[in-house]
Amino acid sequence: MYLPKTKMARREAIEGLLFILPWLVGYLIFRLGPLLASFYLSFTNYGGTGTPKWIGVGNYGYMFSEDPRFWDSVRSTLTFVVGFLPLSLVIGLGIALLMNQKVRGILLFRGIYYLPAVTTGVAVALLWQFVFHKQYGVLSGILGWFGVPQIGWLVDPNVVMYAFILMALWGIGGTMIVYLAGLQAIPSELYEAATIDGANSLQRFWTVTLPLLTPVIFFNLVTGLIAAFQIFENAYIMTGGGPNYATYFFGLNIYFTAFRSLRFGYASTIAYILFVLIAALTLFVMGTSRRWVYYAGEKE
Amino acid sequence: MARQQSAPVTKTASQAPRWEMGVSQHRLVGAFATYFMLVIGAVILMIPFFWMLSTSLKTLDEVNTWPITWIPSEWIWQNYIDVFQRIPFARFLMNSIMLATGGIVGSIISCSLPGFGFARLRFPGRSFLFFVMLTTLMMPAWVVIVPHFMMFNTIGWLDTFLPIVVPSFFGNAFYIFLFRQYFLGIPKELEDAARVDGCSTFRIFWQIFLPMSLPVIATVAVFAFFYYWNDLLYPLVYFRSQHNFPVSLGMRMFQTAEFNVIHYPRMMAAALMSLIPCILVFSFAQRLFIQGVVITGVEK
Amino acid sequence: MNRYRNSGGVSRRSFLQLSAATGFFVGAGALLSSCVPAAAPGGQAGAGGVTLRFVTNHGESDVPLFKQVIETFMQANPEITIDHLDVAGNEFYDTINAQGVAQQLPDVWYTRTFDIPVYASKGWTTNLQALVDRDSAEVRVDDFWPAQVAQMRWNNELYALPYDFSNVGIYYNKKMFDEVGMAYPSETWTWPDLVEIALNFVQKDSSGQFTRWGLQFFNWNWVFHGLLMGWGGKIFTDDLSECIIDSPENRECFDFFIAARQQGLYPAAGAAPAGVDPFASGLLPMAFQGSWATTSMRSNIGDKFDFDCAPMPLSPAGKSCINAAGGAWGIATNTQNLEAAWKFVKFLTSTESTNTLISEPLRSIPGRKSSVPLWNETAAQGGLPPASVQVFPAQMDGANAAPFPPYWQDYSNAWNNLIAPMLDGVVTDGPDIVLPMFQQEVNRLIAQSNV
Repeated sequence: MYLPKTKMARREAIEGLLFILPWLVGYLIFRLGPLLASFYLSFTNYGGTGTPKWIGVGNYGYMFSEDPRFWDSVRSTLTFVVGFLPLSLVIGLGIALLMNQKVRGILLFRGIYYLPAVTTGVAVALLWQFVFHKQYGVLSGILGWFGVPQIGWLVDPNVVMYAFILMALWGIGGTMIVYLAGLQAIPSELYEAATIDGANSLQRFWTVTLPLLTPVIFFNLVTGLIAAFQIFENAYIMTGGGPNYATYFFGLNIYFTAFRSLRFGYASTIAYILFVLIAALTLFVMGTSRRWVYYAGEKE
Repeated sequence: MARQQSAPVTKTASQAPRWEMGVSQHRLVGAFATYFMLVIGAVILMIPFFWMLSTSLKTLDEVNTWPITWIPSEWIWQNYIDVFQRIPFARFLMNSIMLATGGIVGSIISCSLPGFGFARLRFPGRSFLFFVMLTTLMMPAWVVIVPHFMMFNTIGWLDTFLPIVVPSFFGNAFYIFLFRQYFLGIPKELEDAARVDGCSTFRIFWQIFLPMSLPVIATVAVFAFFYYWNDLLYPLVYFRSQHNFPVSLGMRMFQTAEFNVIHYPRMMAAALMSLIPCILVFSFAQRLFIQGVVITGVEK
Repeated sequence: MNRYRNSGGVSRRSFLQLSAATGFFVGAGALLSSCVPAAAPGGQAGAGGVTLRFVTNHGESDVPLFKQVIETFMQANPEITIDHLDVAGNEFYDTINAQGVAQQLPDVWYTRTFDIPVYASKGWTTNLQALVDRDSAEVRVDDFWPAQVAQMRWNNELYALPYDFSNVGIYYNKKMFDEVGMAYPSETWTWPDLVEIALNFVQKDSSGQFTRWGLQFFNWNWVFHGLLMGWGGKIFTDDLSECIIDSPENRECFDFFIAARQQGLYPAAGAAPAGVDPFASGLLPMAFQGSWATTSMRSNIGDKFDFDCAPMPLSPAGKSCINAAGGAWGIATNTQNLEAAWKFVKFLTSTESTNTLISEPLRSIPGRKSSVPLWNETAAQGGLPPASVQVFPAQMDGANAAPFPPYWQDYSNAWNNLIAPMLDGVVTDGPDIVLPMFQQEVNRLIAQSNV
């Protein structure tokens, strides 16, 4: 652990703590209590009423050995994360590069590309039914021109995951806009220098854009990872976890167990396992970051 | 998280970035290809909105008719008037604007400071606290909502905007992380020069870092706006009077108790109107994107 | 590598600036928020008066009706103020459940009959039996539907008073029947009769895909229970402690519908166009629907064709296939004003209020039999179709009384994941595979809840 040794370093440490104070206070007030409470509840059979009864690691044992739905959640969530996250990082960057061009009307395009990310609710749910409808859907229509047979995107347990990845990619605007902010911050002098050195556009991308964008890629990777593990809304509205629990993601499992079945104790158990899973992966990604993330303002 | 300064690019700009991309010899071909891709993508993304617009102008009868009509046979503008007459939609809009304004102001203030602290100041436990901060993103909202409800009930804040606006002044892990990543990319020389000139840490933050950070401030503002605009869960749980409802919640009143019956035209009309402020905010934030970078470029 | 020129004053000044700025914005935020006047719950009623929180789950079209009933009540009872909130859609359950766990439930709220055992077993709703017995002349339990009374009970005591009750019948498109030359359904038809009629309407395209079907069908579990019971099957043991759906009778019932679907009785998932009403669009001649759909059907169909409705067909053995579910009013155990809440619930469930809420605007079947004549009268007004709409209240006689279990949400979740895909043709597994799986899943959840 870092220990400030000089007087200046101590002052900096105090200032640092003062700067993070708004968050720290908020954490202590709004986060720590609920987190500890649900940790406690994960060892009880609390059913939303009366006093929680302590059952030790009973919930944890049950979850691993007797609950097929837990494994459905593991399978569906991991499949989604693995399928979606790399695509979102690459496609998001691609779109952001397009959006960073100086062409007429680019502001309008940015708006159009971002809008889907923030359109939610029943309107979107109905919309996806039109897109993914087996016989009459937009997608079936387009694929039909290429001779692809009709696919039951939302009703076939074997393909429903592809539909969810496509739906999530529709809302890629958030990833894109973060990339865009990062691209805007790259000094043009660097491109000019690279051009003088004879670099073509692809080389400029590899030697200038990509290295300077690594902090933003890191951000999108970590937040994307955390968010993808908690996919909820589309599954809640569109499939309710089905068919046959094929989309019974962790987020949905926890919601159903807590807010529909009112088994808060067990829901806390599942939530904590999800929490540990995400935290471990995030730590892993953060551990690798020093190998590939470049920070211009880094201190020794 | 101490990182090594393994810079792939040694030339660090002491000047602020400018709105400019690399020079391209085959600009014409490039521009055409860019446009082509942009337009294709935009059309795909806009189809759903066109469908929403078309639905919002139909009679309920026509919505339910097969085959689907894309252009309503008769344009029912009355649906838009109905939205205001059947529910207090103007009031809902006002509430959403207030919640979002409070949320944006709170988020920018309370997230830029810790973002700076985590990025630029060394203090004991920084890496640990940073990770702890990230963990707050890893728990589904369902886990904390009941404790929060009890807490705000105890202090008598239910049915006011306070449970939603006040926490925004205590930091949000996602936005802090975003600020941190951006601040990490700002060259250290700027900070050192200011210290030599006798600037306090707060002045360095306030007068050097923040003005250079308009792209990320705009990004956080856009994210925060859309978050508070679309948030459904917290208003649902905290508000007890209809006149406090935001648009996201109020709009859902066009569902009915009858099974499977939703007045889609009115709902789509409300959804489209609630998107208008979103489009305005996004356009404004975009201006900030560009303006910000230009100003700092001129100043330095 | 840090270089500080100034010492002492710097960090203090930055701290002051920081805290001043933070303080300013926190204050501004608080001010902004408090600008919006919040209704002070409990503060509106005069001295000695009480305020009751009342939450419904109905949507904007019903809000004016509740307003009317509440105004009438408050005029008669000036000491009671009703603070009404309508939360539409499924979000209703999120807010109710959060308030239930926090013991902050509204004094009176809407509980569907399949929610009553859930809330009663949690101790969230008040046992009303003693109050019902005390005021029996006013409540008149014999005016309620017996099947609904059975569903509003928990451990043989009443926990709610009724709002409405719903069952399902068959709407049919008279124009399509005339075109094919079929006789209209009889009052005593059976499911095999319906399938025989329906298959005359089925059409396929050149690739063998159905383009027209015989019936719009829904896999609603509570409705399907009626079918299973008509076939002689049981879903739960009598004490509801176990799910016993995997029985020969139930397999036969499911097989009947799956076989019929394969012949085109109803569209498989993803076969009929999404987002449109296939019955109103003439894609099929019959719809399996409740009386609640009458109003929207009238507006969807307009003058495109004449239609009518027939009772739910009987099972092959001639037994009733009706199961119903409905809405009711419960009182929170955390209420501070039980007597006032009880007074309001009695008023809500009175014939007069039921008339205002259900019979005059023609919603689902009124929860009071004494409101049915007015409902029939409203339905017949203007000579609009369906002319035989009175079949809905009429088929309540002899309906199966199927109480719902306290683990209803788990049951529904498993139904949607396992049984619905089977009925909709998403999976090819039949009831011989799916029913044991489903039964095991439900019993696993029951056992886990009892830990």
